[in-house]
Amino acid sequence: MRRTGEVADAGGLGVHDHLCWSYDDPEDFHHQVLEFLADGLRQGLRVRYVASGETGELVGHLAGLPDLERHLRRGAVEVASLGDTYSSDRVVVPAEQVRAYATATRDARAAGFTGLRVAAEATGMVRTSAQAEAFAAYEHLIDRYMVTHPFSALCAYRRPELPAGTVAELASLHPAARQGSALFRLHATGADDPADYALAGEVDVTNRQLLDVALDRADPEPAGAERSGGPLTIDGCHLRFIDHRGLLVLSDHARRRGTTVALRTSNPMTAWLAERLDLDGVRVETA
Amino acid sequence: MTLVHDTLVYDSDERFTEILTPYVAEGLAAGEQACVVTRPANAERLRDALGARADQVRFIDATDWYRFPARTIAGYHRTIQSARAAGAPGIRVVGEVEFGDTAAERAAWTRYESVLNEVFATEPARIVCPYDARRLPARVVDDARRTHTHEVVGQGQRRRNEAFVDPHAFVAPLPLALRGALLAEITLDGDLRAVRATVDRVARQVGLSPERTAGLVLALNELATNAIVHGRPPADLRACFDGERLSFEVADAGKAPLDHFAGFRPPDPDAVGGAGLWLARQIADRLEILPGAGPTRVRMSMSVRDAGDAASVPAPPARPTVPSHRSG
Repeated sequence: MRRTGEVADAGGLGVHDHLCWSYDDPEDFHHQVLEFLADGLRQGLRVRYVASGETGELVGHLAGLPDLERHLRRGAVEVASLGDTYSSDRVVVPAEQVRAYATATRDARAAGFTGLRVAAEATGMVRTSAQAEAFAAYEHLIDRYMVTHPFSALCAYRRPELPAGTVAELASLHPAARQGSALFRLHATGADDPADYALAGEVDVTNRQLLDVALDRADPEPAGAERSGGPLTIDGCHLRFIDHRGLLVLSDHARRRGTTVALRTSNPMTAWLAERLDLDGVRVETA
Repeated sequence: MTLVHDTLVYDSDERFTEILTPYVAEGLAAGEQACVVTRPANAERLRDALGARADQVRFIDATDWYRFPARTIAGYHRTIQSARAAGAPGIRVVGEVEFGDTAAERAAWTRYESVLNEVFATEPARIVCPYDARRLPARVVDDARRTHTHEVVGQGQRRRNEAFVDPHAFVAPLPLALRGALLAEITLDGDLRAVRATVDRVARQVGLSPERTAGLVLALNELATNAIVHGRPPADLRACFDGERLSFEVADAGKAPLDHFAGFRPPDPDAVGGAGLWLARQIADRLEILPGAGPTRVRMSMSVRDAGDAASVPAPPARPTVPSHRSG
């Protein structure tokens, strides 16, 4: 089971987990990284720390990890400077980046580890709107990869350095996010779940535009393309609340894609809303 | 064709059938749909008089249909829309309102009669509302002549009601008190999640079912959204409980831009907005926009007693059942 929802810290995460950690204070961030990576080592994972800065400086951030020297020697702990990890023009190419991590995960397995875990300080990758847009698409693509592969990640963004809205947009594309940073999350579903996405949390007037953006970022097909196949299926089993404006966002998104939405939810009022408002484009199944 | 909304004041069973049988039959002959909402005994009389034609009429038990005015309006709206969708040139309705036993219920249903004139003004519907002078208080019958432009006085004969009052002058807020212990009071600062959590807690505290709790959360979320989006700060929400019903007030410092029909008009499916108050009215047992030029205050209440299964899903049946056999 992947961890979903809002979390108070980065501890206790499994081999498929994907956490967004937004922060103000670098010390807080370093503390979470240590906890996340130490957990990974205990699970037999190769762990990698990616951030901007010189390699030596990055190793210094990990000084709190037990047996750091030994882990570094045997390749259980790696550090990478931001520029080495992401593509050189610094606007990520989502599919390429996923391929790179897929290769790294296979390498880790081949070297005898149970998988790969990455803690990435990615603030430098999302400063401009073009960067952030590409990176958001990457976040969803890598989320899909993680569901079926032993790859877990903590994606950290430093709020004071980023435009308002950027962190909220990125956080909403993770199954797990720091408490208070993502009222809803749009993420990949479990491997055995046929739904296109899972939508969890709460959608209201304060974040419906964010949902609109997240749906576009998470869209596996090019913008404006007609969707092939049936309705867009959304697992809303953890969707605690969605108001009628939120349902309209879903139905508008589907209409632009030439399809409809099938939403599965446990909230008895959601089906009632769709029916009362005659939302032809949204079919709600109450789970 | 626009709305025709007449009253029929009758004092005998014969009068009821003598006027309404040709009224319904004429509509059917013209290809219109027909819907009769009345007490079972009246329905039976009309069925007998219509004979085989009764099979083309949808009969609805008035006690099921007239439970909450906003839900009844939504039910009629659906009925009219489905007649339009079926290509019928119009729909004929017999709507015998159940006015209830209390002055407050009678006031609410009298207002409903006036509201119909406004919200269905452009619909291709002809509605006759029979008033049984033998059992209704004289005050209710008098008011019928203020809420219907015409009275049916004979077969095909209509007389203008001199007492008719323009709905914009007639429709007004009704009293709705916040009663009992204050269970919660929060400032609406934009955090709607806190609003929902508060309403959820209060509803569970008084033992509301999960389904009705979800409805209440949805309704109060809409009212709070309106206060935050359209109102002016400071805005707040209060919840009270008197042992029987939960009542809420959502207030903001803006001047009420809402007319007295707000939330009674079905929302335009093609437009964003305008649905919030309508949805809240569908869920609430009662909802009132308080009068006055000062702060905007909206109150709503919900009884904790689950009034039968129908109340767990707060909506009139989408397709009211047609009795499959004749009784009595």
